[in-house]
Amino acid sequence: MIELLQYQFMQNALIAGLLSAIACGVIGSFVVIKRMVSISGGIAHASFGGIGLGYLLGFNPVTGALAFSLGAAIIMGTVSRKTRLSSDTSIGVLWATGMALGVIFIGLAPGYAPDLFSYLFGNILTVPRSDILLMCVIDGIILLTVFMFYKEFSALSFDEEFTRIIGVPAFALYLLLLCLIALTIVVLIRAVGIVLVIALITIPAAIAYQYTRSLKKMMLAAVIIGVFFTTAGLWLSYLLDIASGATIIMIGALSLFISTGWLRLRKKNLPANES
Amino acid sequence: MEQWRQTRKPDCRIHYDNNKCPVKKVTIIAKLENIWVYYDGVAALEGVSIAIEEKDFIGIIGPNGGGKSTLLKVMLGLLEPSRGKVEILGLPPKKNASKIGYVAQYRSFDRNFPINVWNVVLMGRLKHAGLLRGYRKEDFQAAAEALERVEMLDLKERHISGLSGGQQQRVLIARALVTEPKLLLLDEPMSNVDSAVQTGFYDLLAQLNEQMAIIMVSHDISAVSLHVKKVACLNKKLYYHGTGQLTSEDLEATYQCPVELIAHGTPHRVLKDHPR
Repeated sequence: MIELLQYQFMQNALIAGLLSAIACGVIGSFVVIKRMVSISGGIAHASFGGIGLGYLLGFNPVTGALAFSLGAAIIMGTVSRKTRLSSDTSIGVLWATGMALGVIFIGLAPGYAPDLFSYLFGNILTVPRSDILLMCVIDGIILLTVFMFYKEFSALSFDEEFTRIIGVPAFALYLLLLCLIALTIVVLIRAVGIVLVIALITIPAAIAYQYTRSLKKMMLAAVIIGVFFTTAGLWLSYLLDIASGATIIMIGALSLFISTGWLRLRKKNLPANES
Repeated sequence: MEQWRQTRKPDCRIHYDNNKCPVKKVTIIAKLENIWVYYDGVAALEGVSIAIEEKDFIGIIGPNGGGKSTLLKVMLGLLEPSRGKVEILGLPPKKNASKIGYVAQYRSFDRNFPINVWNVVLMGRLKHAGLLRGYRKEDFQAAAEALERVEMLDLKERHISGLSGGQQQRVLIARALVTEPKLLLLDEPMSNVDSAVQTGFYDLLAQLNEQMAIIMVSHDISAVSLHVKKVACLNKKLYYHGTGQLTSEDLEATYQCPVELIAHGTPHRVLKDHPR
């Protein structure tokens, strides 16, 4: 393991894992407590349209994903709050529309689309330095915004109707939170890919949620758990020569399964009056 | 029944022309004039008018789908009525939102949400504290005072999952109190409170009523009529006479079927003879 760290690609991969864990620990906590998992999945998949556009017009597909995921976040948020269409429906429609656009764009692009598979399922071992820098900047934006609006975001997650009633701009804050989710997705695309993003956003926060009773502790715990997943996944995928993104997710899913089962067992063994 | 009528003082706010009553000026906290609300062309409220005076304690009863929640939303400024005018202390509701404290119907909100009592109550000061700044000393003071008033200050560090239904409801009331409202709106406040502690809960409301008007929406006719000062019936139209007395005609109009007027405990002040 130590000699592996001498390789540039390994260093990049570890840094990318850390940056991913920070974004998904902080934003994933809001996603879990405000039950925004499916809207996050929708935003992630819609961003595929931007990847395709990048291929077609010859710019960095991650930049295209950034634009598309932010656009999808704002449209889904607006449609779900301001129209009669249920958020369920709007998520489903935009989810598929974004992917369809991506497929069309890639089909129109001349020649073969290299790395396409890594955008869909991630390949943390091939993250270039330029993307690391972009991930750093986005992580900075996410942390600063959450720091500035922490009390509003936590109130919004607990009771959105109440925040609106007392005259706080709940809708604008909701859109802002969705945009942060969009940014998180962009950070994670290189590590686990569009299709698997949702699991890495959700699982560390879901495990943290089982053991913590304050939002700040939950975020911190989720970040630490996320670092563990990305590092362990990276190491295991290298060892077994299997896909890194999928390995990270499998370790996460297994951990959540064990944690939930363990809590269930522990609860059963407690006397009835304590549980 | 006759005896009760004699012991009760005439209500001066109703019988303006009654010689026994000096004309007294009361502050109107909220005024709704001829409110109509339509959902997809179907009326949810039909010409509702009511003036809520200071220290009123009004119970609003009515069937499900009768527009109770719609009426509260109109008062809170969450819903713009199709027709009619709403004023909260002379201003549109959105401009005077902090004058209304609102306690929503108990939803099974996530009991495991990572938050403790103290932070739930502080949430009521969100608007006061303002964007891009933390809570300040005055916010902490207001939260502590509100918790003191609902007798929950001792439990301020407790995680919300460790509270009983009644305690949760007290915390939500404290959250509504931190802006020092003039009107408290309660939507089905007893639905999650054990009947054993309901009396204490009504005592709390009676205390709060000394400083603010209270409107309580409920489907529990007998409990409402025992504890509130005035009763209104709502089924699209609002039947309100500014008295504590329910008439069987109103109830029949509200529920669209004959309703048996039964109240438990004493005094049976809502009971009125009705023809068999």
